[in-house]
Amino acid sequence: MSAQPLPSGAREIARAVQHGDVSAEEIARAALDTIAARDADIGAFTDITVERALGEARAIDTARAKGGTLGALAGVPYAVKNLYDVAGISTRAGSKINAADPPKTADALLVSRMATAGAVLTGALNMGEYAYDFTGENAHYGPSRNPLDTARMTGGSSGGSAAAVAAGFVPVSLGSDTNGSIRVPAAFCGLYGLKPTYGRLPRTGTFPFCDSLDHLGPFARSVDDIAFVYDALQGYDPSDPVCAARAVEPVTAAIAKGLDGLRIGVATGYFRVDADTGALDVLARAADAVGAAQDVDIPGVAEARAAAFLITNAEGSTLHLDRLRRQAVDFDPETRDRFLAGAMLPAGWAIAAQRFRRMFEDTMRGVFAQVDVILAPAAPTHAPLLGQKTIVLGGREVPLRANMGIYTQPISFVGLPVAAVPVCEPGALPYGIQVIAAPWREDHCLRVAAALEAAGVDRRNRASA
Amino acid sequence: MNKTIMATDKTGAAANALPSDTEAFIDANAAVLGLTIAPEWKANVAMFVDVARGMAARIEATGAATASEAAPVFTPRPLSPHAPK
Repeated sequence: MSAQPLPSGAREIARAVQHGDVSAEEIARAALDTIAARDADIGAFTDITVERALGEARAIDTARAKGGTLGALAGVPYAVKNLYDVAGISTRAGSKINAADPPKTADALLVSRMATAGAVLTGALNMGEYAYDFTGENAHYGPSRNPLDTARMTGGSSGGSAAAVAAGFVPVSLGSDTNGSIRVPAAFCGLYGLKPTYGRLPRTGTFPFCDSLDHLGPFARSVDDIAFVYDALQGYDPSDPVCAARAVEPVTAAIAKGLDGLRIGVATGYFRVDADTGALDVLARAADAVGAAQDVDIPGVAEARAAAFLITNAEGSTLHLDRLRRQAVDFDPETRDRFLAGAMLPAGWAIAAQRFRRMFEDTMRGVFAQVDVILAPAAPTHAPLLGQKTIVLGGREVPLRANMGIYTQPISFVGLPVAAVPVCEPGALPYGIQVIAAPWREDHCLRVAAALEAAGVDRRNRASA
Repeated sequence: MNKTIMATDKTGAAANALPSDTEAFIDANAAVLGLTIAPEWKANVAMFVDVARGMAARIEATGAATASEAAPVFTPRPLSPHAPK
């Protein structure tokens, strides 16, 4: 073992492996040992790829010993939501039904890109069934538990992806976000997350939820690690018809530009009506930290949320129609009834919602003529207790699952890039802020996220300061 | 029958949706689609249908149904990257 503590951040690990300060195998074994020792209490993983991780790590060490050039992410352990294809594993997508599928023979494209960059896959991660979830609970595999308080939800549907990073099992993970499934878990678990622009990262080799709204993206414990991984993931792939034929636009260097020239607004109106006091306080603190003085009241947000709900319900349910016919009893009851309802929706409701999507895109183009970045809450409250069915928003008790995405759904509805940033007081549960930019301006999101990080809006590690 | 109150729905569109015909809607659609809905699931399915009905009413009120082109635009791709444009 090394005399020094092992590096824990993705960029730190890659640098140490590239310099020969530590072997990739040592890093991989440490991650696997931690997962083996602690994941029973967290429930982040559904599949642990021990042999693959050690094989990938040894290959990196061998390449280095021979003087070969190592990838940017050399030796960085990571894991993926179990809707990403991983060769040798069935792609569960959180379900019991798909767990019976044959093991995949090839990796999802983003897993391949991580491998090419030298990252080391430690396994596949728990998630809400078929990604129709904001809780991280799962009737088949148990809940992913919030490492900050294991009695609480991780948020979902990328619950395991957030738990694995927040627990310190891996420095980075990959998840998916259709209506908030990266941003809500990042908020509840006190992490950074990136939901890139719709069409930025190819979804090739992932199990879909709702093609019209599905995005992929990373979780990490720092903005720099988000940028580090995101830059390795970018690139056009024609196999995903939504993927935009754009050149790779690296963001790591852009972060150093800071806030210069950025016009930053704060979402008001809809985004403040049902947020609890804590969520409003952290939004104000984040706004102060980056000098965001301009209120932005976006028209039509409630309708955007409604349209996203309809498209998701109709399109997601259509995907599962045959499973609903043959194996409805094998669904998680928390998703089954929503899918059954969605399968029946009149086509006109979903088509009108898609037409409204075009209208709301025009609205947001107008908003981004006035500001470059908008700050908004990621969720109306902090992590609820596991098993909790309702929350009180705006003085009313409402169903938790149907309302936890009220602030994220309208944003992903028109594919805007968003960085999730944790904001927290010492000893308290974290809240999350959405840093929202115009399409294809992930650099703007991450510049502001980095400024918030540098300003210390997450004060959990400063309790004794 | 259950009703779901959507937190941001200040117009009460979802809460005011009349569920009286929802059960008939579900029965008819289930028959057409070949879905079997256990009796104990029906109230929950009806709740979600009513939520969606409220959402649809909200969208209909925007005039979106006739006002603009739907977001997913299909773009035919060439057979190969080298095909004549």
